[in-house]
Amino acid sequence: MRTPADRARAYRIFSDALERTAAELEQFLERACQGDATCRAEVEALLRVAREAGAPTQAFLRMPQQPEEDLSGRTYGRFRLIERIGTGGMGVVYRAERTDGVQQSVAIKLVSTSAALASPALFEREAQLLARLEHPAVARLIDAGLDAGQAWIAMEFVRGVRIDEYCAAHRLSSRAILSLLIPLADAVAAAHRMLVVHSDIKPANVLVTVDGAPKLIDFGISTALRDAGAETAASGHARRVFTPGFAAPEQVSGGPLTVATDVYGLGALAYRLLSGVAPFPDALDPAAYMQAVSQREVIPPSRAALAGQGAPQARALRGDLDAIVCKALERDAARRYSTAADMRADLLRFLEGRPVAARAASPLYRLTKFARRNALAVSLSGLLLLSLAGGGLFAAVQAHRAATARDQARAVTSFLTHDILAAANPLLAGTRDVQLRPLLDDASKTLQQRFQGQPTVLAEVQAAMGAGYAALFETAKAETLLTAAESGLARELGDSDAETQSARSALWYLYTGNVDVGKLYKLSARILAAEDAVGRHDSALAYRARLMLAWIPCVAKAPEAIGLSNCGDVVRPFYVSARAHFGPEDLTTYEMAWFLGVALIFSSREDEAEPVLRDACLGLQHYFGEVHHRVTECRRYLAKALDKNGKSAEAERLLDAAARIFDKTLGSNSQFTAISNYELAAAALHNGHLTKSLDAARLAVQEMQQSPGSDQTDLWRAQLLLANALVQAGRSQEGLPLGEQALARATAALGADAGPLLRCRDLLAQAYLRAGNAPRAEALLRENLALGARLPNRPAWLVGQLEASLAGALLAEQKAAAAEPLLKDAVPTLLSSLGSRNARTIAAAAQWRALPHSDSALSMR
Amino acid sequence: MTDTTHESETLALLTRWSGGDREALDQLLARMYGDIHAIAVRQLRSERDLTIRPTALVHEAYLRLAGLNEMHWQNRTHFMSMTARVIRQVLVDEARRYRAVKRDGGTRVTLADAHLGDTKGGFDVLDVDALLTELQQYDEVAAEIVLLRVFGGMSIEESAQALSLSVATVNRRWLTGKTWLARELTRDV
Repeated sequence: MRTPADRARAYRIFSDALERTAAELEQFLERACQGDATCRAEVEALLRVAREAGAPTQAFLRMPQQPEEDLSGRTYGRFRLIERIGTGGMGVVYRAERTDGVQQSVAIKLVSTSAALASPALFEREAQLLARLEHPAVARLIDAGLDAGQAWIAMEFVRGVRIDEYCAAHRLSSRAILSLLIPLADAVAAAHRMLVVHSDIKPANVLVTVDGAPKLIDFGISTALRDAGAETAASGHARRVFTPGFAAPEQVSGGPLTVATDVYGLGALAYRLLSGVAPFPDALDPAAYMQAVSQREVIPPSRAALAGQGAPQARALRGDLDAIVCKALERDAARRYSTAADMRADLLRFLEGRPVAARAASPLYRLTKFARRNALAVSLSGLLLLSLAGGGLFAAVQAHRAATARDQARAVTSFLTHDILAAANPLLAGTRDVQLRPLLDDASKTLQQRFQGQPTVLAEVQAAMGAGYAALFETAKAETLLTAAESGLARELGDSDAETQSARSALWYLYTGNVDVGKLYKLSARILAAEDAVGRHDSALAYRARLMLAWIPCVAKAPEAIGLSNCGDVVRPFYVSARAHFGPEDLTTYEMAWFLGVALIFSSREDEAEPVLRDACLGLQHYFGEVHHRVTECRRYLAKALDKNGKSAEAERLLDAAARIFDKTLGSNSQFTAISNYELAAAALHNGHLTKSLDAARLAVQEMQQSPGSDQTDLWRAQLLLANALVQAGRSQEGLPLGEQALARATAALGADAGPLLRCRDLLAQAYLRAGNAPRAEALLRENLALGARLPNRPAWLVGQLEASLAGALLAEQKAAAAEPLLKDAVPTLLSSLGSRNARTIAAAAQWRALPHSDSALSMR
Repeated sequence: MTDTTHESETLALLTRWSGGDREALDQLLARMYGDIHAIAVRQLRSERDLTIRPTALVHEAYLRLAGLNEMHWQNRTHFMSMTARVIRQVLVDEARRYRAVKRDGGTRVTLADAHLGDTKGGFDVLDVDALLTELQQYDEVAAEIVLLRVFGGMSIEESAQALSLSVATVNRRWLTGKTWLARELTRDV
């Protein structure tokens, strides 16, 4: 136990010791420390650090550059910087060329830490070492130097795509992915032979060139393996920085980095590529990741991946691959492959159909086998296995609580949500052949009596089960359980407790999915109040709640289903603020982006929505993986924007995928599947893919008829879309009556003054135009214009849009004179309320220009 | 308040302070706190992992208080040493605020490029602050130099100027102070 006096003493002795020569040192230390071994050790450690730091005078130059400064044109060594290509963890990267005319494309990293400056000798030695590493799968280090206080590294310039993007874009099979991983493992092994550890293996650091060759970039000047008895201080800095998602447990906890750390990195990379998600996809911020990587077991990649890929034989093979990846990802470094070469050998064996070493001895393998037989995919202690075999979900819960010996309630929820439910979540797992539903149904019958007298546990189990049902889209059951959980947890643990808020959060997502506006508003108010009560004004929950509280009244004021004008402007400040507060890559920011995108679409500003939603989709995908319903929903909205912005081909592709994912994971009587098919039909129609359009439209109608909600608007719109498709396919006699019927039903049900009728009538008018019956279309559109002008609280652009539509029909009838005044009014309206890049404005302007005599006083672009 | 008024008032205060007017220091500090706080907060927000580069902070603060780079060299180093103090205070405040707001202890606010050796990832501002306070008890001079270099990004020469010491002395005391600090920061707890 070191007292302040000890510390002061050590400091003083160290300070004096620095003045002594080497000859005097030993004697001095003996006298000064007076036999106190601890003190002596401490002083010696300080002296070592001081020595390692090197001579002070030359070393501590100030960092000359600002990171943001553009340094193109500068020379370092025999290279000249051309353009900035990115910012890495330790510095900014430029593309550069040789100054002496030799053709060589390099990437130069300007190292921003003081490591190089602290000891230039060490920097140079490591650079020389790394320059000797020549391997086809490594971006070679070409040169390095220290110019006027700026350390720089020149590496082989690799033109390629990130490996995760490459695998996704080319839809690589497992085997193809392995053929990329094997050379990488080989490269890492080669580096290890030179005693160099990469320590930052992740998708961002692996590129794939145009020829399909993988390359590890950014070996950087990370670490050279030190001697066995090395000071942890030397590698201690590693504890402070790691990439959540791919870092090994020892990197996170500050232990020494070894060869096994890179094995972990390769395992995490393999996991990500094979399954589509990172090993702990829901724990990607540093704090959560630290907890996850050191405590949770990894879900085998086959479980986490997109499913439906094949025969039982393939599945058996996948078991081996699971074993290999899981062995690399063992928490205990000693249980992983001891070298990258061993891992490579096992991967090769797998490819060649031979038995893999990873499977044989690992207890995880046995558990995995058992777990798979029971459709549960994760870590279970021996005690737990027995309970599961016997008593089902609750026995498992009790056993888990006993086994962990922590009476932490959190363990229960965590166990249920992460271990069982996450693995069995059909959307996460991508399959529907799971037994979660019966497990939940069975449990909910005896829930109350099982936890009689344990209100806290009861509430937590309710929360977890509610989340489980929500994942299965059983909204009614989910809502019942989650509301019970909310009040129970609020009562037992407190209104602002994390668990209470967590249950509310699950309920919140449920309500947003079902757009239950009234309940959502009240819930958001509760959430915000609870956050504010404990000063958490800037939490993600608070942000989301405030956004909802602002958005809902805006939505409420606007006529439903036409266009919620300017609600995008209400959402935007939240997005901007969240981005500033949480950073551009935080989950909350992506969620805000998602809301903003949706709001913009509802405001008919698809041109603005497109980039926002693209960003949101990528971000959400990074957090949740390919198959998660939030990602698919986001893509659906992106597709809407794309379709409107004239990028219907891409829209169709996205919707195709979305419809299939929903169908596979939720079944055909889910509203998500139905709506996806509807939108797919619309996009396909725009692209002229008639057969697909007809099929999708028919499916949509069928699905909507099967699952009637209280609101039939979707059904009528689907029928009207089908009508359009039929007409386009030359079957007007079928299509038009179908359309008229749908409109009639809609009018009867909603009343003649209802906003949603506008869209329905517009669809019917389009059908008539397709059929060549412009007069009928004109009549319908006139009705629309009249209705639109009557609506209270209508968005500014609505009348303009309706005028433009009517003008379209008139032009089809060659009635340009009648069309002109309409367009004269419409174009400026659209221009000012939606902007010049909006599809509607562009279309109307085009119509105007097509008029026989345009008034050039109205200047438009 | 226009930039030039702000600048000339600051300049006046600075001149008074280097003439020994302690009250001018307080006013100056108060005035600068706001400016530097705004800059620091903006830097913190833009960095994903809450890292501050003190040199960048000083550089920007220096540019902000426009025209001060025309000042007499004597005043410049005095300005910088004061900036270092303010920066320390600002960062400590911000770090505490971050820690309070986030439930799980939050992401630490860290310092990078703080001349403390290999700072891959940086050192926690609050740790550095606490250690610096401790160091002030053992070795005032070393602590002052550490403050100037770590929080103010000053060079050896500038520190020597600011403290009216020889470069050799500064080097020695810097080595002592920063070694101790670096070791304390990277020690396994």
